[in-house]
Amino acid sequence: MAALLLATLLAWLGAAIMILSDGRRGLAAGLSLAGLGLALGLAVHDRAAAAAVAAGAVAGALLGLRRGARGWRLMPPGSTPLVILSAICLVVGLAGGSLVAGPAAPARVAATTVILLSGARLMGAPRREAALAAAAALALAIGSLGAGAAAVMGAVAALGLNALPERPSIAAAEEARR
Amino acid sequence: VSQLDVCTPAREGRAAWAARGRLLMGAVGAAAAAAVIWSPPGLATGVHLEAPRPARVALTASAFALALVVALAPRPRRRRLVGQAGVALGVLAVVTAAPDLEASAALLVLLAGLSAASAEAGSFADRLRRPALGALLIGLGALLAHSAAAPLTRAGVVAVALGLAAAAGLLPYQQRLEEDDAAGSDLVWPGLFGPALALAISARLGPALGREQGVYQEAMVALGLVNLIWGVVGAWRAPTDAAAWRCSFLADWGLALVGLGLPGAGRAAAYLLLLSVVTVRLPMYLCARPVLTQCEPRRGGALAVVGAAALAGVAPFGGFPARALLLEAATRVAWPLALALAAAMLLWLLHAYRLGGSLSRSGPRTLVAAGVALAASLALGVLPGLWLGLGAL
Repeated sequence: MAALLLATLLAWLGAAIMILSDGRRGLAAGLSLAGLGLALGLAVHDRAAAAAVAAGAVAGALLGLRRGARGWRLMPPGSTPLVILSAICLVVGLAGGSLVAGPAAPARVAATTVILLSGARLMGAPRREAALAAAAALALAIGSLGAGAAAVMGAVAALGLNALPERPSIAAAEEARR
Repeated sequence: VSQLDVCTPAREGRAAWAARGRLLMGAVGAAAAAAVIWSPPGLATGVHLEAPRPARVALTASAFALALVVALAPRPRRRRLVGQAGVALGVLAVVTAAPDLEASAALLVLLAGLSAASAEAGSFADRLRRPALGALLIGLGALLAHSAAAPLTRAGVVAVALGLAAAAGLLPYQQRLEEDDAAGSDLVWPGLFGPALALAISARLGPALGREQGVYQEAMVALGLVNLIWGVVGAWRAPTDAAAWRCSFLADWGLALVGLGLPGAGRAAAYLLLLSVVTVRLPMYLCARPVLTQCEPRRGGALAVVGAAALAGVAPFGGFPARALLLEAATRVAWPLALALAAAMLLWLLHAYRLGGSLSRSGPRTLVAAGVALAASLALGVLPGLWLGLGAL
């Protein structure tokens, strides 16, 4: 139960920072924490998968530090709906955690929390870097739902998404359009 | 933008290295796809990677269509596209061969990112959104589908079906994006990636569901009918040829989804229809692009008539045996369903000549591509048994 609580809280905290931040540091810290929370949940029954998820999250977050606005930019104007959503996801995650049992429960509850938050961010993110961080967290969380191979593939996807090259001309055109 | 694109020797050197890197990654991706397509069953690789047989054939068809996309692209973009196409094909191959749905969904997010990054115009976040939502629904659906409670299992199965529709860019998730080029078009999902994905997911999920398999079949039939009616009527009433082409993809997918929801011959029909989407409809759409982008006027003539026949599924082209198999399967399940399908197939004829008339004849490349698409359609129509055998159906 302690592992479930800790994994869910850590994953939620990371995902909440990620959806409430627009700066590169905030996105990277959120992705890393969410990945570590997922890895903690996985470590209960599959340590190799947990190591892969943690490595994928941290490496992806480091790669993501190359792009986006400098600094943290936590809770920019218009964040109130996301704050409320984060609080609801925490309550739902903890309530769901009390209903499930078994060795895979911590990973599944943490992953569901991250999936809901990163999905909400993906649906509303206008910026490339925010969408990439949310997509990487989503891939890690979906991978954590499955067996060992799925977690490894989720980590590969998170790493690959953050390694996608950005062409300056297209980035400038996107910025101008906004 | 022009200031950012200024060429300096250092920037040129970096660009050359980046181009080499892209080509290398493309070669690795193509090798991964080849390994998935041709690997013998039960090959011990440490990780269990084995695509279902129908998905392997669809993957081969996607490779064929990607080669046409690259060949028909403007010369300056061709080199970049080779690398991108190889990587996308490799990721698609691993998505279809992944050991479980969660692994497929996780890699689908990567494929969505690759596809969004390859587009020249439009917002990256907008292009990523729909296929990523598909992956989310498939992942959550897979979690629920394996739960012990029957209502949760049913909800999970429906979520997987909706996720598949979202990933393939079908109704109720069809998204109109800014058009730029064929590779960045949102038709890449229904025309190129979707068929292999649909065949792989259906092959993995169907047998694992047991008693709840009926829910998946009903969800597929319902989604199929919605897409079929919207596609056929939309293509007929569309204000522009480009909109008619988009709707025609929905109509093809509608028939295929109905087939995936029917047992026996229905699955065989869906497989043939999805192969025809990749090898016939997408290449013909590429041939029509010069007319759709108004670089060239519409023309009638023999190519328009033959192209219309191929797109309408008239004998001896590829759509005919698929439609016959689908009607046979639908008649066994419920005759009103067969009646609705037959009505939609007749209504289909109304837009086929319009699409055929938009085929371009500018340049040998386009003509060769149209010829290849027609030959593929004939091969599907004349030798359906060969293709069904390759897909173990």
